[in-house]
Amino acid sequence: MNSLTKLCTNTLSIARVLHKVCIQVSRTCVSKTALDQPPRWRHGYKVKLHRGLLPRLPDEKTPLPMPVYKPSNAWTPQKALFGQNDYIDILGNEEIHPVSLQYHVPFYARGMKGNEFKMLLHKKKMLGNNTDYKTLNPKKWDMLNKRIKFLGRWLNRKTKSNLTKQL
Amino acid sequence: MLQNISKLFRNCGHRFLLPKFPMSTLESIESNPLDSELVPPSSSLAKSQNFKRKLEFMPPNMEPKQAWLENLNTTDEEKISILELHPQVFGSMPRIDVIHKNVRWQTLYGRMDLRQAASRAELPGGGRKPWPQKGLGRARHGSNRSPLFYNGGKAHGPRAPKSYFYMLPYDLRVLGLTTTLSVKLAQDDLHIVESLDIPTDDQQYIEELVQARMWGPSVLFVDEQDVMPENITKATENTRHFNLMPAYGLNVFSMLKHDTLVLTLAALNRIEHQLLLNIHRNKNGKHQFRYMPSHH
Repeated sequence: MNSLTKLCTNTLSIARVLHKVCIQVSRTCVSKTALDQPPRWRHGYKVKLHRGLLPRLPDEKTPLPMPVYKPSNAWTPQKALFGQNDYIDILGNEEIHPVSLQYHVPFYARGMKGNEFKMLLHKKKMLGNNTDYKTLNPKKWDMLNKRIKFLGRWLNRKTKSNLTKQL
Repeated sequence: MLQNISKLFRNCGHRFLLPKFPMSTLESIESNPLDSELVPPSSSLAKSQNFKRKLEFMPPNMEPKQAWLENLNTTDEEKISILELHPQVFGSMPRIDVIHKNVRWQTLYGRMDLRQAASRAELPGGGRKPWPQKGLGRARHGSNRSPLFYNGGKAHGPRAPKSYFYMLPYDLRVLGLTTTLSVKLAQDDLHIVESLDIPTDDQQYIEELVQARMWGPSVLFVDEQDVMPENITKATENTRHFNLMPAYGLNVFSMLKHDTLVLTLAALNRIEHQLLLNIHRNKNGKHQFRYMPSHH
């Protein structure tokens, strides 16, 4: 075993205790000799020889404290056919808007984008007029109205206009 | 005939096509196309009369692109005839930025974030003053559901519903389709077949076919209507990377996800017709209607 590998094993055994591998090295080589002095530049700088997770030694019995990597399946039925009917108004029936096929999106939010206030106002219009949401979910309806009232007041009195970051 | 073949190779750009064609067949094509190994006597070029395609909206300065019409009856490919493809659909400039925009739009426009962190008003309780204002030496509080409290409401947390919806301009989506089809043809990943009829419903048949023809690991079979022949549906049922799709379901994301794209003649006609219609017609501002959910 040459001096380099000896140094490596020594440092690794130190690392097991210190959880860090930082030694002072000279410019040209890593071997430790009596004549080697710390370099005259970068005083106090400790070179990190090893970064990241420390290597597992062969006789180590404790496993790494992290889960074993399992790659995700890129060919599940949902992923394989993702985006299937997005161009249906070009290649198929012109009267179908592709966003109407987004069944996973709640109907009150379909085709809508905005800040929370806009989305809640739209949601109130969609749920209040045509559905029984008011009678079936009285508490949620009250909370919706409460939030709309609060946001109206807060946006008008507590925020500057045209600052989208505040919401 | 040789000119047509050189045009086909010119499509591929930097990708080297020739290793697929053994030199002997190329030489035989040059000498006498009817006697070559690629065109067996059973499906002679005389049959190609039936597959002569009429290209609509053809500008006079453009030459049509060409592709082989193949079959799915046998494991090894049988080239039946040469088809002419419209250059505006299959020979347009490969716009990587447009493809990126289309893929980004497809991933984002249906994305929905329904997470919600309850605010102090939405949590139960919290109406009573926890302890008197003065005298206890404790900090003053008005509600035990304020954000300062453990188990209190979240002041600026995620608030549902949050959507990432937006619509790409109509013509940009059309351009995305044409540019992706052009890229597929140029990179030798587009194959046109007569129909999706195969002799057996055996899964192995399709796998051997794809292997023998050196088609990509994943293949997307596109037909015109959404009801597919029985044999191919059974054969590709359990293989997740062989997928069947109707022509109206074609999209940029799927074309990029699957290595090879296989179109039937009917699907090709439908797709080309629709794309050319949308490129050339006078829209009068009605080409993309805004989605108006009714709430009255």
